[in-house]
Amino acid sequence: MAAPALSAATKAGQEFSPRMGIESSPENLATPQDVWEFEIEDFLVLARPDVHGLYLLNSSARFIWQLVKAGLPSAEVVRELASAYHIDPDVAARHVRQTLDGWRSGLRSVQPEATVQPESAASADVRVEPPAFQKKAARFSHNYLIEGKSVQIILETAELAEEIIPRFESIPSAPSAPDFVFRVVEDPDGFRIFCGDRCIAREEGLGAIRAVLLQEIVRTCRGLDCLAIFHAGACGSGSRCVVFPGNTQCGKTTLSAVLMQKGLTFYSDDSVLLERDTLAVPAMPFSLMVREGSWGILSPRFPNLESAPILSRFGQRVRFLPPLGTQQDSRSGLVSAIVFVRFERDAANEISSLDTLQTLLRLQESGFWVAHDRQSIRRFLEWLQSTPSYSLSYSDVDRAASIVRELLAGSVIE
Amino acid sequence: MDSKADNNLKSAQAPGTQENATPDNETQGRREVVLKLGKFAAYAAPFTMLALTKKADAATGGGPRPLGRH
Repeated sequence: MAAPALSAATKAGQEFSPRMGIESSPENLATPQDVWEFEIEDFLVLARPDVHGLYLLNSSARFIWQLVKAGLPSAEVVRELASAYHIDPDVAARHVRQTLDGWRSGLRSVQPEATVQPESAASADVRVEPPAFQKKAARFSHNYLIEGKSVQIILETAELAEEIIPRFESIPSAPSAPDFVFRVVEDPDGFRIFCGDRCIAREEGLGAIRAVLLQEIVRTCRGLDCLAIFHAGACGSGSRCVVFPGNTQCGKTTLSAVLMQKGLTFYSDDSVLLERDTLAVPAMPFSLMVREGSWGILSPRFPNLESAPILSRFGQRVRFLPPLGTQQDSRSGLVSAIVFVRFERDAANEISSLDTLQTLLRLQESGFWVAHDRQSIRRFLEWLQSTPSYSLSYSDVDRAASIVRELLAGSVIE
Repeated sequence: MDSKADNNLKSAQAPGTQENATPDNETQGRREVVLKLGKFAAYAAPFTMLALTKKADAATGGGPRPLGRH
């Protein structure tokens, strides 16, 4: 659907300074020139340098933004909106007021509500010698061979070891001196990861620090520069893969395991890295965490799963499943499709296409990270636009696997 | 909707809209069609959503953070 065009009068207004904007107290508002703009189809993505996030504006919000940027007074904005969309002026007035109020507390706020603290990765280059409390005796230390590198993992609490070590159970030991040393410590604010003596990440939660550690190990060993990271699984064939973003317990691990059992390459069940230059996804060598609810589906396919130890994780019973295949090579795959999966007991195994705005909204729900600079965001959005995206709800994991294989084979599902 | 407006709507929705609907006065005609396109675009209430792009969310999941969704 085409977005409405601005009238000639409004276009003329674009010559006005944005600082002559519609609000009477511009000193309390970030101006439109303080944000990065990315026009995508009929909607708009905005980003502020100081907020690690993307503001998604639908078509009508984009229209209002353009009028604000052109410096129109609010009465004119209302009139233009009502005229362009042929809606009741009272409705237009209400929607404009609500939109501007929302922007004042967020998008255009000098100190936005969602101001993000420096990212863990962003602070990665700060050289910090671990303070004394971080130098206590390690509960766990071992050298693993990952991506051809010797990687020493040092974990300082039993809690960290319980969360992290099961993921490494299929990874061979490294006999040589370490190429990289990763040390995870607990401090009063949560957890920190050090690579050598550099603090490369800080997270509050145990699950988050585990996921970031695994990402950082693969990124470091392969020398990758990440454009984006998804909370997602991925499987592939040949040089292609399908990415399954989804929130916890949506079925991405189960589907990834079944696809792996059917001969596809396993890339990840939890974190997917998108490499900046190649836009490829590297395979992760770590074990899949299978919750009790999926044991019945997966045990007949993986006979060793039944004999795997049962661990308690955050009150849930889980087992770990080593990935099949040659996980020690540096395999990468280009993304054929993004598929938001959801297992539902009575679902009809349906797949439907998503547009770019819907995809961004779904990624926001499942969790993602994008390098926060104008060029990276543009590259990410261009990649997203060019990658087919779908929503798949399934009750039959074999049928879901067949659909994914069709996507890998190049099928475009309308 | 009268027949003229109906025709304009059909023209506006067809591929190559502006060329197909250009009347004698080309400049004026193009402008009218552009405005028609605007008037007949489906209206959805404006919304702005902040999708946080944080490592922690990429690790363990995100969540809705509506800003001015109506």
